[in-house]
Amino acid sequence: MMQLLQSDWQRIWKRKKTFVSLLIFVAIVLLDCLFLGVQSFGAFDNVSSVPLTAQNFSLFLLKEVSFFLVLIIGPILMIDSFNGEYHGGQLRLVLIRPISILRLFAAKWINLAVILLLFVVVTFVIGEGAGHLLKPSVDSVVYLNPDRAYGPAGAFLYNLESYGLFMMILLAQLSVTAALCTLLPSPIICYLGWIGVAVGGLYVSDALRFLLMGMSTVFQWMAGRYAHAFLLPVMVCIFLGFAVTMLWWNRRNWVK
Amino acid sequence: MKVLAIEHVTKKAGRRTLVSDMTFEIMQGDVCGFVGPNGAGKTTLIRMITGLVRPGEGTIRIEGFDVQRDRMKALGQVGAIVESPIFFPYMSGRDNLLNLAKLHAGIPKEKRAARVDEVLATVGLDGRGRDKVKTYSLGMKQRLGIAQALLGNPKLIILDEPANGLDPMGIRELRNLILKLNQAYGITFFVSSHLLDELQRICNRFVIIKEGRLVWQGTQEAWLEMAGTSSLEDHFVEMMTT
Repeated sequence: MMQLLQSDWQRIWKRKKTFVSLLIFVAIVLLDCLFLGVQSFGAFDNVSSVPLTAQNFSLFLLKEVSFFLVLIIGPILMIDSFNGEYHGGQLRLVLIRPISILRLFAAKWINLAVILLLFVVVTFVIGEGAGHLLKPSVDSVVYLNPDRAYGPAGAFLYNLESYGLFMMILLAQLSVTAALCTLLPSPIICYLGWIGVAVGGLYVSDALRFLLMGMSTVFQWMAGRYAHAFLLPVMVCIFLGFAVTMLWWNRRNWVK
Repeated sequence: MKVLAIEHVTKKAGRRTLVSDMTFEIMQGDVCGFVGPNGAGKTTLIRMITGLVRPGEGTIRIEGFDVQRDRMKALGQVGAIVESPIFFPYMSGRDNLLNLAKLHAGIPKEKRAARVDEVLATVGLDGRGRDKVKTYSLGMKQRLGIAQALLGNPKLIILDEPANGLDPMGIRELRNLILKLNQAYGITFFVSSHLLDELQRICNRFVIIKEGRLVWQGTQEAWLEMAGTSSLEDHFVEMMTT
């Protein structure tokens, strides 16, 4: 398994797209830091906002970059790995090796999860650092629920938990995209498919709105205002998507 | 000793039968030509042998290991080029091979680099190994394809249209390489190609298929005897049109 992880990891980072995506992402995070640095308030939605401070800065930074991560960088990396490599024919040289296809899929999933985690951690670290550089530190901070105030340590944990929930949404996206990449024929159609699923989820059930409106869902969940199940649909997407796609990979015919 | 055994293999796609009740064997040390017109099912069968496609019915054994049930053991005995070898263009030839070598449990970490250099030298690419694959000519990519097929010390190498796009010099190099590997290392080859003249120079056996069915199999001598005064090409065309 370790060899599969290493081999796939090397291929991911040898792609220009991965490195360029990371650079662009860091640039966007820094630009968003500058943007938030000149703002006085951070907005949860169209009606609710709170003063921006060193304690809540990283959370609003994640909100700013989340769409970019969910709609552009994430899908590019996932589709490249699950569909692009196969569609381009390069995966054939891997598939004819004496390896387990189940483990190959698991290795790809784990590597992408680690890379997504890297993007999230980069955002968190830069957000916490920039918040303390650009905004005043306060003794008490409130988030979407004005009845709950947090001290510096509590705010840090609040941010950390919010980032963790967002990471779970990315993992759900990873599993759903893996299934789409197995079902659909080409990278562009896979991307359109992901957009279709994310937007379509809004119409199918409110419980699936996290696929497109990730940070909005996290804000409301953390404030205790989210009226729908959150963790259950996220977990179902993660585990069901992973298991179904894994079995599918093991049974499918590789004809590209 | 049987290296490859195809036993009653059938594959359908919808209502269309791609391969029908195919049965044949290849023995150790054979260089077996696999011929048939376009759409006869050659690539489908090669995909089944290399585990890319599941047979609908029947069994494929490599060195006695069932490709479906003992995938890792069976494919551990095989090196293959299925259609054109497509490498990662943004990596050097050597890095591509190092990456693929990680997927062979039989190559210990400390011996990977040496094994890669060895196969690069075998195919005559040792001088260009560190260049990016996107700078390689078609012939060099084919040789790199053979190098990746050699990585795991295979007993059987499967080549699907290996001469596609090669110039006469490239074809000659490929021919010499196959003969060298067969004679020096005893590697068994299963080569699909439309170039009957080329196959005649390297193969001792032939498997001929048409519309997914086995038409004939046997030694080159037997085929020549059957063809009589006709060339193998003329006799092949005759077999395909009757």
